[in-house]
Amino acid sequence: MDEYKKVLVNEEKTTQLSGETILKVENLTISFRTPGGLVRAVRGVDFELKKGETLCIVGESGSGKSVTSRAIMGILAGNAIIDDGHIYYKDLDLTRCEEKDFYQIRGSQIGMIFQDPLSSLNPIMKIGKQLTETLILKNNMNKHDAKKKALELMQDVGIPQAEKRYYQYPFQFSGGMRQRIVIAIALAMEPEILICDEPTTALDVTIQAQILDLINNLKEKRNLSIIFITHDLGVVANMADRIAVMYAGKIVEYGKSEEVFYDPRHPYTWALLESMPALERKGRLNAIPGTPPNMLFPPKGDAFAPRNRYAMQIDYEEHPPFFKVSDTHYAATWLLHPNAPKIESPIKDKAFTSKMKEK
Amino acid sequence: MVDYTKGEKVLELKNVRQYFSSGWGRRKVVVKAVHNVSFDVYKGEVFGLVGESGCGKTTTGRTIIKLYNITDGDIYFKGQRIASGIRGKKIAIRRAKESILDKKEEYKKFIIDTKSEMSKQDESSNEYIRAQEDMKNAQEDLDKFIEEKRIEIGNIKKDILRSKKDNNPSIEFITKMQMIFQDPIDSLNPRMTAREIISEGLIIRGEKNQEFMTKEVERVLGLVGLLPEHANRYPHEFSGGQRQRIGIARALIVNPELIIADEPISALDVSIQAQVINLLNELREKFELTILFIAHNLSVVKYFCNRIGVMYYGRLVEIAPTEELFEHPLHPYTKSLLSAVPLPDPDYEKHRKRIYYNPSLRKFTPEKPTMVEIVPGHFVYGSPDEIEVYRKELAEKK
Repeated sequence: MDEYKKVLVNEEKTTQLSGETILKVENLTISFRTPGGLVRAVRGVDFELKKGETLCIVGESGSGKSVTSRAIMGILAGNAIIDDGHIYYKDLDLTRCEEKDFYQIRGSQIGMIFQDPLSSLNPIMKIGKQLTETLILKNNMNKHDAKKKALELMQDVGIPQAEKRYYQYPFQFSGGMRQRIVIAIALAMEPEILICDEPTTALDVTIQAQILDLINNLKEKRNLSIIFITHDLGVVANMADRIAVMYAGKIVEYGKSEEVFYDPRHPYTWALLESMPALERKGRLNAIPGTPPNMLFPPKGDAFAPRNRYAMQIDYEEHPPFFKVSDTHYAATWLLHPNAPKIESPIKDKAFTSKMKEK
Repeated sequence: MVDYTKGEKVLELKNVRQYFSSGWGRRKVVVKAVHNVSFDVYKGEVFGLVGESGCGKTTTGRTIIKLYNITDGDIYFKGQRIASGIRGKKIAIRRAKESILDKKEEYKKFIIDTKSEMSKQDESSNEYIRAQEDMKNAQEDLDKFIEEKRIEIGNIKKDILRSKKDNNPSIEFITKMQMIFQDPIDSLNPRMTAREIISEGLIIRGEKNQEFMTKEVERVLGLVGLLPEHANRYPHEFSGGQRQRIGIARALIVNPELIIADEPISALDVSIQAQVINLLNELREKFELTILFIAHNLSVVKYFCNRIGVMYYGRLVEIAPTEELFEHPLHPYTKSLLSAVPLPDPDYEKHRKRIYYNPSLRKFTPEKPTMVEIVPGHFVYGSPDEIEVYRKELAEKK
């Protein structure tokens, strides 16, 4: 870790982190150069991650949630441009960080789990080697110690017969077991922050439940801070301390888990909750009409307005700022403006919250 | 809730097995993907098939629509047998032949024994004559037995021939059954326009009238909420939800009666999923479609299906109407599956208890487990002891 300290000394002090906050993203704006033009994937995202909490970023594909997480890891694709914004971690600004410095952070300070466990493991390398690779390279461990540590890790993530499994290839593992291996690799360097990019989307419900339990257990055991990216609101309810809802490259609502689920304020959050068939009701589903906007031509004003039942004229003209609902709960919608008409939340009286509580 | 089970059976599966084998000789591996599955689907209902990945639910769907050659069992569509496996019949023939050989062996032994007995006796003694009669009787018995078995084998062979004939139903008939696939990207040919993809079903049926085909394509495009000008586009020009609509349009153009929907929404975005479910619901009401809905998302299944079958390792472990299944799940696997469904409610999620299913905890019983109807419409798979336990559990709950 000596090299890492050297980096800190050289870096000018840009930190704005206070107290509990471990990671802070400020006005992050990312575009991609494509033959069709600039795709504005992320358009000014702010959030902070506090120590020991799980922050869930919810949104459909193309909303920029994965891009944000990749920017934090510094693994954006080659055609990506960070137009603006900062990512503060410790004393560093990760958007301005050079690759040789980033190398000290990636993996060892911030770990990441990807969506598809099959494509994130090397198919022709034994599991043991993939696990010990980082340990040997970064921690300068010898093979014997690395193996001991790897076996410990495998037991931590709940892989039975670790000794035997150590010498197997990824194809000999089931989907859930593969994801456990990926988690073990991410945790090998004992990072502070774990970014989970849809880790359970490729798995089915029973396995998903196991993996979520595992992540929750590991979080408590190792005092991790987690950024959890998903589009499944059920998973969010299970994992999140705080939630940020993303749409078309912007965060539209953020707050504590209970606040967002029981008292959502943004029409997009309403629509998402309404369109879930899990609610205890029959009849037509309230689907969100239309499709997400094409980010080659980001819409003026509120990006959700064309699909929004409650859109007002101003939604098409100007993007709403964040309005405060409570100290921890903010939503970017003109409906919260003092001059806006009062609209009852369509899911407020729906049965699902009360019904679930009874159980 | 309408009770569809009184109506006509559209689809009937009887002891369906689907095995896949790979390798030869000593290395031959047989994967029993679907293992003795029987269920009925009635007209107008949505029958859900759920289970974890690899449990054989997709294979069942594909076997029904004859993408695979069925290994054993029968499938009836609208009362006509459309697929019939011959594995069981071949085994029956082998058994019959073996029993003939056994019987012959037995007879030979008997003859040798009696002859050696006879040689000790006087030719005019009573025992000698009786033994001679015994031998004659045994000979007659054997002939009769062989004759019976031969007739049996002949019948089975005729049955096999009939099966082979039934396995090739007419195109007009079999296209009444259509499938919607999981992945809207992989299931559409990237080199064909939407019109070509959708009208392919008509071409296969022998339709040659271009004008009629164009009209039909426009009709189904309208049904699934697309515009006629979309017909000339290629699949990559559509979004995920639109692609799945093309998949549905392709199934609808031949006016099917049964649609097998193989996880039609799991590859779609959250905000699009509800659109596609609503579309399927509308179409189902409009055309009185029967749908076999294969999925692993239980909340969708609960919303959409009338009856649900739960599969585990190639077997159906529980069949019940949706409400019954969600309120009184009996099989431990169903319970663990239901306990794993995430719900959008943080309070509930934080206090939920998960149940894990461990099949190795099952007590071994000499009796083979079977599918038993515990209350009308609710079937559970288990050995007699387990069924007794389930019965008690259900009585306590109610």
